[in-house]
Amino acid sequence: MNILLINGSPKRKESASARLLEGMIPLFHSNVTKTLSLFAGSVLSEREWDAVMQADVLVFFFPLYVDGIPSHLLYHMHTVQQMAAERDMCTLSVYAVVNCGFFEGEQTRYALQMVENWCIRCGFSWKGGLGIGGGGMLTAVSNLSSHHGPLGPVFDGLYALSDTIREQEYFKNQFLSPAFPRLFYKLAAQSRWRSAIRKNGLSSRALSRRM
Amino acid sequence: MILIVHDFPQESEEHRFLEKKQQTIVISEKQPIRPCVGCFGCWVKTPGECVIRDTYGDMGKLLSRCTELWIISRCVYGSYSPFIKNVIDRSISYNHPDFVIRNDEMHHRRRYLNRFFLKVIFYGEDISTAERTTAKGLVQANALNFDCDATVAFISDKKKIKEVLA
Repeated sequence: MNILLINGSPKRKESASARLLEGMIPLFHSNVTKTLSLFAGSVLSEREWDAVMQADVLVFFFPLYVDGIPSHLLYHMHTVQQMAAERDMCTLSVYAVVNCGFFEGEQTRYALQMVENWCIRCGFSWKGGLGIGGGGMLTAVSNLSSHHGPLGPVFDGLYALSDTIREQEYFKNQFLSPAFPRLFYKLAAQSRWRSAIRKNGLSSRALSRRM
Repeated sequence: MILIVHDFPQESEEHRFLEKKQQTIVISEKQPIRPCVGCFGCWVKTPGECVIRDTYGDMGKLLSRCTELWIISRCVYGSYSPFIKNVIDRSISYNHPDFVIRNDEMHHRRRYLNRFFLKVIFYGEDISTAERTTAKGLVQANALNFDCDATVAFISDKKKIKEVLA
């Protein structure tokens, strides 16, 4: 089985989507997996498009952007729809892992629905996915390979999804948040913004600047 | 001020389908748009404006000046079309990076005091029931994030836009 893991984050560095993708690779054991990155501004080579066309399973990893799919990924998905219309790709199974900076994984539900709607347009089989909240913790906490700790629920989700992908079965959408109090997550995120703006030589008051 | 964001492929359609009132600003794909790269520079480097200085770098400021935001978009998988989504993705400087809880969900705090009204028209000849459901949910979620009220309409023929906006 040919599994293609697609990193749909526009970011080349410090990407929560890349973290989730890398966290899932070891869970596939001996199954053949390839990866593809669709950063902002990426232009895919013919070889990379062939990898998409030849896959049995696509697994998208992307961040929630304003309640939906990031625009650069939407452009690529539209291109795939046009390619699918010209070729027979109806055996392709699709899964997705969407993360968001808000605490509640449920906020990714419309993005997952959009991937499902895209599958219907392309004639692919939508098989389900994960919606993960608390995305800020994914790049801040090092351990993403244990059932315990703040990212334990995320690892549990990746583990369950990878099992299902190996069998190409249907996965009922799961929405997850870190095992961490929401209030502390909010405070930690706000503290990170203040630290980031000060590193750029501005006062934390500038976070509220009006133009 | 009314801010209109549309994705009509031909400029002539703007004149045919939109009745512009005074104090209207129109955003369309007249110039190439670069995608948001997720750098959060509009929050922590140049707060309130996008670090990408193309034609679409001041969306947050424009939103802060408007009383109504009209989005006219082809419905693509229950989402806005890629161009419209690109403009929306480039608009997050309108919000403050800090979080608040609304409807028991985490959202971004307001940066500005204005409260615009969001009107969305999705067009397309074969929008499915599932895509409509997703699109309605998307607009409601956007309204919650922008802390505004919203309406959404679906049309199969762009000629009906004026009627819907009247």
